[in-house]
Amino acid sequence: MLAVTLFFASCKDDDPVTTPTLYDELGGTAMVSDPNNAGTQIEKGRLGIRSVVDSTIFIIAGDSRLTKFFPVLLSEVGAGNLSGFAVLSKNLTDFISIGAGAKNYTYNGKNMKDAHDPAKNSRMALKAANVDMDAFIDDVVKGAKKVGVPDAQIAKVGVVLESLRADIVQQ
Amino acid sequence: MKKRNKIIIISLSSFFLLVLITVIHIILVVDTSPVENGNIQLTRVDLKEDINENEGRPIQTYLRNIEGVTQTVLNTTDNNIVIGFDNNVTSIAKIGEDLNNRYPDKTTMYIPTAAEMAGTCPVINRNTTTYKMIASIKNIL
Repeated sequence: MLAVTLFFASCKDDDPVTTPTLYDELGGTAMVSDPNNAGTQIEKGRLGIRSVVDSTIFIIAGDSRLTKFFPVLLSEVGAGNLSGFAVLSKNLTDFISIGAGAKNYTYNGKNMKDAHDPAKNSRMALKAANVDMDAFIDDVVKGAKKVGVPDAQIAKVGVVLESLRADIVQQ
Repeated sequence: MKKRNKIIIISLSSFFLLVLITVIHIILVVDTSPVENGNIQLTRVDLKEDINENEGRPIQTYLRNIEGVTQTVLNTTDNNIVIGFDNNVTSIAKIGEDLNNRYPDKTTMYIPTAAEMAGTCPVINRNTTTYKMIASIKNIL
């Protein structure tokens, strides 16, 4: 009788096996210390994504193929005020975290099409072409490798980025 | 006289309506949520000669020892080093001065020109009264 009960219990439909999201694979909602903000905690999945984003932004800022899109990234702001880096890091981390499966954050920015249209986003200097998107993906891969993201996860990020190409490339 | 008053009333109403629409638009688009890397800023030093990893490493080490510098990334294709720093501790001018003392005539700090900046919108200054007012209104809403 016990064996029959266990058999049916193990086959119950209300306990489905869930596939881990990319966010889960990067550490999910487990809280860890934020290395950039002493005394504060951050979800491990978000920290992983922010590390890739920040590493990528550093690479973009030195990449002559892409700097034309981001002059605000290297402009000086006064002490204590937000830099272009801080805001781009936040927006990209919010956006990618949600795309990767985060539940506890929101993205308040524009949709991808409007965000990459200079007529609708004054922080976008020019329309992007396919060659610019290729350079961006190349820099994301370099940024992810630099912070030690395994190839399998990099490939998943690549799939997400490719799915956005039609909205981002506008010339 | 009546016609003139009517024109004045319509003009003033239109003006205040446009001001109200602008204020609502600003409140909606300004993001007041906390920013994790709030004090980190980037700058870039351009190297005047072609450089490889081995030649660039001592310059990176020197930069990383400057107080307030948090990270550096060497780009040997474009001959530059991107520097992250805490803008409460140091500034682009201070880093440039230190670098020029150590490596005279080898480096230039990249500063975007006014023409380059004209094409983009700067980040809102969170120290301004305007921003503080918007944040207060958003908190109430």
